[in-house]
Amino acid sequence: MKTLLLLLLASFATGFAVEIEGIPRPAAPRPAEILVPKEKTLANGLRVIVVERPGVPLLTAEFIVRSGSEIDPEKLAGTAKFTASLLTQGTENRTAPQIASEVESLGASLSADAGWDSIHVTLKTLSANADAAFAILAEVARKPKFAPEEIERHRRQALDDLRLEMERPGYVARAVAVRALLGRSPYAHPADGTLASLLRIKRGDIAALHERAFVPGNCVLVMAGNVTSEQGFGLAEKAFGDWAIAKTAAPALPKPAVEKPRAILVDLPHAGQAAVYVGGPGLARADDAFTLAEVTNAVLGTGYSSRLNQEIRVKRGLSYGASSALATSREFGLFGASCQTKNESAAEVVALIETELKRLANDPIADDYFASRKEVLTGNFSRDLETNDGYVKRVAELALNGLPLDALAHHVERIRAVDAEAVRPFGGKYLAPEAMTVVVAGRAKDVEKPLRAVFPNLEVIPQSKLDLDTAPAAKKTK
Amino acid sequence: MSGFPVAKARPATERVRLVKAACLSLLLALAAHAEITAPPLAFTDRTLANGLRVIALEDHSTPIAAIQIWYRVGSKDDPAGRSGFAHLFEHMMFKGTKRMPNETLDRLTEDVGGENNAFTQDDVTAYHETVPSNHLERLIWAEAERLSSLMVDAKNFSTERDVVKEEFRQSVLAQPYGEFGEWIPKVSFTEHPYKRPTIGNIEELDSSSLEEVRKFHATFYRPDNAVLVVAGDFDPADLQRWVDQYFGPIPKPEEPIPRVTVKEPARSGERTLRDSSPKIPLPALAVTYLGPAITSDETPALEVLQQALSGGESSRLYRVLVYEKELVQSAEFAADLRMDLGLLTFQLVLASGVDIAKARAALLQEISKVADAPITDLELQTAKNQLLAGQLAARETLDGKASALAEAAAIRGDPALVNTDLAKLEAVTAAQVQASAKKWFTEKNRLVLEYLPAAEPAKKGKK
Repeated sequence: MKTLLLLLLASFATGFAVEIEGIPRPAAPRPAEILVPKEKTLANGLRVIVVERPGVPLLTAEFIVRSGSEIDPEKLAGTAKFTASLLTQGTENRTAPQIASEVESLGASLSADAGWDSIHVTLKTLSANADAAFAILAEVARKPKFAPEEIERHRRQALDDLRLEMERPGYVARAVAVRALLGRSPYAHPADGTLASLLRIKRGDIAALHERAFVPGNCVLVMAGNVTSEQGFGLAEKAFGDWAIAKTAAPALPKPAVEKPRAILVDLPHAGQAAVYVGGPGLARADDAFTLAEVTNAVLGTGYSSRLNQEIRVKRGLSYGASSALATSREFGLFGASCQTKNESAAEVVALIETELKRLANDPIADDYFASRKEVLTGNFSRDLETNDGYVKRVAELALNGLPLDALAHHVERIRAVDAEAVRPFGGKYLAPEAMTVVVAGRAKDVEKPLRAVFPNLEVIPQSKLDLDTAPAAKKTK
Repeated sequence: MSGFPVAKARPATERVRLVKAACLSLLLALAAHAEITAPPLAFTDRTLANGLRVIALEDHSTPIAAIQIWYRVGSKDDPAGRSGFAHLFEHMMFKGTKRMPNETLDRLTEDVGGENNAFTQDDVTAYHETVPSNHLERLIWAEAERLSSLMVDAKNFSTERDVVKEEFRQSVLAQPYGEFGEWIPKVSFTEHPYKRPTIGNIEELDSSSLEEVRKFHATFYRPDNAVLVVAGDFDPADLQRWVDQYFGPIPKPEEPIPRVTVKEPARSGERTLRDSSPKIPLPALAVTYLGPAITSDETPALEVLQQALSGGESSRLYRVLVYEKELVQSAEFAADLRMDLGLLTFQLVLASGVDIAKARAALLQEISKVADAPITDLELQTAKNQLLAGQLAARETLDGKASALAEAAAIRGDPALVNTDLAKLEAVTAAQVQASAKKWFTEKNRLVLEYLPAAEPAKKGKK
């Protein structure tokens, strides 16, 4: 049976500084239910987690391998993502068109992708068709064919995709920043690969990555939707129960050291707008201080009224939106503030971001503003729990990072418990502007002069010379 | 960077349907005989004396309330020479009133764990919020407040206009195919204001004035031009009391609401236009046909056609053009149906090294095929199951339910359609899908747009 935890999720805050003639007061908050995930480990070591959400006749399931792009072999950036993309492109029993046709005729969808620490296959289906859909999910995860013609077809598509991405200033700025920040770490290269590395990946590399990472003990199956936990475990047992135990498991990886800060301008001569990325070290998701990091980041850059968006968009009209985010892995994390602005304003936006980073370390935060920033996080959480996909996302995040599943029930209280006084020392330690690498991707003609005034050591990389294939990312050209 | 007021959030099909999964797959021996049911949306519907339509859906599954207020004014109503104005105005609605400081909506939503956003389409402008349900009354108050008055000063107007210009740069200039996307409606319609891009352009945004903002609010933001939908955790008697108290006193203006009456003439023969851009690595191709209004009886058949042609990897355009022939990188078909008329648009980005004439010929062959022969039973059932699952998912949240009701009421005139759409979809036959394709996909009704990589920007024009 399902257990429910009651939690006061509805907000206590009333909004900062709202003293308006005629406006009614909020009523008393009402309690929300947080569902408790059920879990079971199959005999072969596969961990299965089910969230029972009766009602809407749908089911979302995510099969997660706890290794991702960080196990791409040296010089073969993109292998994990390449492998993920090929899973649905043919198995021992079905061709790619057969898989697409069978899945979609069930009212289902099946997709696969890879990133830091994970390769995931996501199934969304009418719950009534779960049996048939799970059979295909298990087949693509366990028995992909990696046919040579599918490999070549995918290689051509991935290369063309990447050619398009490399024209997007936001994509370029982030990829260059991560490469520069993480240097030679296994996490530094783009998960998508590069135009050069995608040409080097061979069938043997793909098959080897699959054999090494896709073993039951290295995988988790998370599902949420219109099933009981018994039904969910039954679906998992039927689809994955006879999957043989294999010895291999992904090795522990060294914790990446973040490189010395740099300032880089990538010249995209046709960019209609510049992308700005200011990034530095962050925290691993499982770090005890992660909730503090999340709240600190919320003050700076989560939501419309975060400081970055207030200063850059609302007060000055310099962007459609400015935000910051914490990228996490099991071993480490990165912080990144980002924004797109007209080329002429890029240097001004960089300065505004740095001012806000300093302010975090130096200035106290007003109580009502601080409370409101925490509610942005609790609100995002409560809305995630309106959907199967949202539950799967939140549960998978805990499972992937080795955190207890009951953290779901305590999430809101943990956020509310963060003390404003803790933010300043934390900001000073982790988010100092001097520790940040700054990357702008835009038109050098308009960006370079004002940016060089602030960063005399600015490195300029022409679009045609951009090389994300090896560390370091840039060769100094000026 | 999502979560901010955006332009042009036009989902291809957002209407929600209830449910009977088809028994398909005789061909596949996967027979999924499932009778799937979901209850109809049990809403109430009333119209106040001042003309405001109020739709309420009580649902206590979670302590949240979703509010949607849709105005029947969109970018087709942009004043002359002010392309992008309706959307620019949408941004101004987040500024203040006499009593309400700028950005109060953010104080009332995100500061307490809620969210707000808005979008502008050709026919409508929609504002929506989700809040913890104990805050619902404050949002009803605030929506009434910004409907009854709006105060924007010169500084706020100019700053927010700069934000919209950055939105234009981000969504159009910074995207490889952004200008291509704007070009399609510009040349697909010749007379109807649907030819104007919702986001507008820098010059016309710069020409707009504060006085025009006041005038636009007075002209279109009136209770008899709005639909208010509330879904979620509330006592219906409380809700109706709040609506009467805050919206009831807003007067209904005497003057009639101006409406677009321009008729788009039928096309008189196939045309091809060419353009180029230095920032695209791969050529792109679009083929458009004028289509019916969204209220047409053909709408369900065209939704099935859209799904069969471009929904997922089993769809025809993906299977033939992307997978089998490897001619294109992406292929989409959208039956973009609007209040006055629709646009049926095919959009391809070519694969590296493919000649555009070859891709064009292959696409036209696929278009002929759906007009010349019915889609298969498997294609028909797959499309129906996909639409069913998509619409169930869209209704998982209170915001999704409220949005479905608002769309049906504001655009199609009847919120009860949310409970009958599915039966209409289930009744679609392969013959009807073919008949629609045959009717619209004619040579006379065809416009072809070729977009090529170039060293330097070229002038648009017929060559």
